[in-house]
Parts: sequence; C-alpha cells; structure tokens
Amino acid sequence: MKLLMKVIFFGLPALVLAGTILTFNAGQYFKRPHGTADDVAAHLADASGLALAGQWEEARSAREELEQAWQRVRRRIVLTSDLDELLSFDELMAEFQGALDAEDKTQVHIATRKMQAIWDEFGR
Amino acid sequence: MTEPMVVVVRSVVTFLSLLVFSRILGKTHVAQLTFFDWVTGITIGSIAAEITTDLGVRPWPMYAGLIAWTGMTLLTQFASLKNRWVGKLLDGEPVVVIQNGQVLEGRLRLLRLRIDDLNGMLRSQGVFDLNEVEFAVMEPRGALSILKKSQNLPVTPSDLQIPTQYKGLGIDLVVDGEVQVQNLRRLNLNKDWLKEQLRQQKNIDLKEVFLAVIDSQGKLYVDTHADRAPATDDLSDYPGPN
Repeated sequence: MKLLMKVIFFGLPALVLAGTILTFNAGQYFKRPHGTADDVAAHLADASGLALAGQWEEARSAREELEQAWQRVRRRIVLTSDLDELLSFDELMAEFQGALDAEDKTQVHIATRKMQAIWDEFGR
Repeated sequence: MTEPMVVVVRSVVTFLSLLVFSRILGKTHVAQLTFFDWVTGITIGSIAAEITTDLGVRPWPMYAGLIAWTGMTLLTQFASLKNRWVGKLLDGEPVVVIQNGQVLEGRLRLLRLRIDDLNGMLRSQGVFDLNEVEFAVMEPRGALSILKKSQNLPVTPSDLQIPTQYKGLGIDLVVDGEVQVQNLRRLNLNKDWLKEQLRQQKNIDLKEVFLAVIDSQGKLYVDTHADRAPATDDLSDYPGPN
C-alpha cells in the first residue's frame, strides 16, 4: 500500500510532465503523412509542378486534393502549432487557388515558395 | 480539433503541470512570500495563462519557459538553504526599526516605510502605545516582529511558578462523520473504545458525531451534526440572502 502511494505520489506528476512535454513536441510526428491522402508536401509539389507545366485543369484538381490533405493534417497539428501560422497557410491556399484561376505562373511560384516555407516550420 | 477544444486541452494540461510545479516549489504561505517570490509566482502564472489562451504562440517554447522559471525558483530556494550569504542576498535581512523604544527613522527610510505604516503594523499586532515597545524588527518576508518592554509583557504560569501539564497536539478521531481508523491505531485504540468514550463523556452515539478530537490529556472535543446554536446568536441584521 505504501509503495503504491509512493508510486502515485511521484509517478503521476512525472507522467503529467512527461506527457505534456511529449505532446507539445509531437508536432513533427502529427505532421508526418500516414498515407498518400494526407501528404501535403507531395500534393503541393504535384499541383505546383502541373501549374508550371501549363496543365491548369490538372493543377486545379491537384489543388483540391492538396486542400483535403491540408484539412486532415491541420486537425492534427492544431494543438502544437501557432494559430497564426495555420491561418497563414489557409490564406496561402486561397492565394494558390487564385493564381491557378488566373493561370499566372509567377503567382504560383510565389504562393508555392511561401507555403513550403510555412510547411517546413510546422512542428519545429 | 476546433479552437475552443485546443484551449480546453491546453488548459487541462497546463493546470495539471502548474499543480505539479506548485507542489515542487513547496508549501510557502502567500503571507510568507518575499517580493521576489511574489513576482516569480505571478510570472509563472502569466506564462501558464498565455499557454492556455494565446493560440498565437506555439505551446512548447512557452512551456519550456514555465519549466525554466520553476527550475530557477527551485534553484534559488536551494541556494538560499545551502548558503547563508546567498540567502541574505536573495531574501534580505531582518531590520531593526525600533531599538530600546526609539524609532530608527533612517532604517524606515531605507525600507521606504512611513511612520504611519509602522504604526499600522504595530496596531495590527495589538500594540497601540509605542511606549510599550522595546524592539521591533522588520522581517525579510514583510512581517513585523515585536518585543514588548518587560513591564508590558503578559504574566505566564512560569512567572508565577505555577506547575502546568504537558499540552500536545490534538488528534482527529472523527472528521466529517468518518472515523479516522489510522489515528485510532496510532494511539493503540479502536472504534469500540471511541464509542464507549463518546457514551461516557458526552452521552452520544458515534453516528451523531461530526468532529471528534482527542487532546493530550485524553479529553474529547466533540461536535455533533445537529447544531444547537440559539437564534439570538445570529449575526445577520437584515432580511435577505445570507
């Protein structure tokens, strides 16, 4: 009984602290794709590559998949991320869509670079 | 996970962490804090609040700050314990403000304490006449300790050479109607003994007892669930919610 109490007294706080530190540092893990459907970096590269090759229709459909992948990952990383960064990524998704609608390669370049930069920062 | 949900999760996690950190930092009562302890406490609380509600920051760097502040506070506590010089540096020293009945104005200035403040502190200690005070010392944690002149000190049984009996701590035997079996065991007593004593000393049943404490002479203090305070002792003097 005394041993159990000791384990609870010291073990529980240690568990709380360890759990918190692990959770707050798990951004990289949560960001990692668990399949092809949530691979944001790959979808971004696809959509951007298609747009720069002038295949606008395919690029728009790739952007849809990118959007779905991002929404999946967003839910996972929201606990460990800065909300402003998440909102910036949301805005850049819209900017990217605008660039595709306007079929403007320069804007596609800019949006892609910005998105890649923010994406790399998630989970750090 | 929606934003309110993130706030809730962060709140739970930070609340539990703060509970652990507070326990690690010790049981110092708020009244015993130095100014530095107080500021440190506020800083730790502010960081915790920011982790909880400021979603515009990543939680880990803030949490690392929380750990660092708690660690530094713990470190200064240990340093004060281990080294007297560091202890004096961090907490300060007691300062005599009244010596042989004389108020030391220079020391008051040093402490940025007005004579009105000193008078107020004396009054809160039950001293309304400065003539009664021999020494007054301002403690590092903000309390004023007073030594009254010998002619103003209360007479004690030892002054009158009256023998007294040992008076130790009372031990709870029943709390909130629940028998404290481990305390009975410590005293080599049992529930039957308690029932018998309650019947003999107070003529009541164990079920009626709210609180029972035994003193070092074996005398029981007993409070029952049924309160019998007369209505005339009600301090409320206006109709409405109490």
